Amino acid sequence: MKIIHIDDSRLAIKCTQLFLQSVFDDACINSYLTSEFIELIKNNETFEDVDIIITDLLMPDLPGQDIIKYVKGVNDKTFITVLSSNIQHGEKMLAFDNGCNYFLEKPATLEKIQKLREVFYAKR
Amino acid sequence: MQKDDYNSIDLDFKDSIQELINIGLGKAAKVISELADSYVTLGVINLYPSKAIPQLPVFSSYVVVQEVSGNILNGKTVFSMIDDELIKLLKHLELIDSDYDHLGIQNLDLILDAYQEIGNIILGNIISSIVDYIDERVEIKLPYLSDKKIFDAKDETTYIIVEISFTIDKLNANGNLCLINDLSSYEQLAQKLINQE
Repeated sequence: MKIIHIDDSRLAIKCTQLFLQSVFDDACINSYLTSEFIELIKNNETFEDVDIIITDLLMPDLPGQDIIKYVKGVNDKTFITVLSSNIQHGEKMLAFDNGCNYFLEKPATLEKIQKLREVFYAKR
Repeated sequence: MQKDDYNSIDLDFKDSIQELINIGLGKAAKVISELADSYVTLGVINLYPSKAIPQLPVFSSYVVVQEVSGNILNGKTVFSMIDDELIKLLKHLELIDSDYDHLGIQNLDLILDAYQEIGNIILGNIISSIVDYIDERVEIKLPYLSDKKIFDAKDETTYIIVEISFTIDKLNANGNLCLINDLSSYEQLAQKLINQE
């Protein structure tokens, strides 16, 4: 299993990664700052082998809503989760319209990541 | 308008502001509690209109600012923790070593990044909960670090200032939040809330 996590904050990446490693203990987890993820896109990455992509929304250079649209455009099967503090109803609806499968409210907690695992396997 | 003038504001308007602030505070307490894995005490220490933006009631070198713009709500939200208090939270998050007792050049980028992200998490949640409550939507902009002079001295807008303090019980750490929105935003918010009721 492969998981990609994208955020513009190293704190968010570090904290979320700890929970992800604990809950998805069999997964290969790769975390990227926005600038690093942009390089993947430039290299025409299709994310075919990626099971879950977790992205923040509010990021410089590349908003999370654009990431959702890009990933869904190249690979409709990847399960996309938003992890954001912009939890407005309208923002959630836009994310779902763009192809997001699940929405997590920041901060990440063990319980929230466990719920993500449940939802992921239920929808698989 | 000075602090005392707040007494002359319409009672329904004040009630509406208070209700919206309570929504934001409830969300803030939940989010800080999740971050720190601790009970959080949180309260409004000051609420007043002001033409000149006062020096914010914080002693940290920098504050985290998040701006909001929308049809109804426009303004800035501010988060601050003084260095010693921030260190307690960062140690809890295992971002800095437990024997680290001051914010030096070492790891400064990481610490400022964390400060900004913690502010973003708290402020974004507060704003979202308030605008959802009145069925509105706003653009929440990227957070940034600023010194305390965050307003243009020539700005003639009247703002409603809400100063909030919080304590993370388990860490015995304190911090401040400040909501700064123009008066007309609050007037529209209050009117929408009254119409909803």
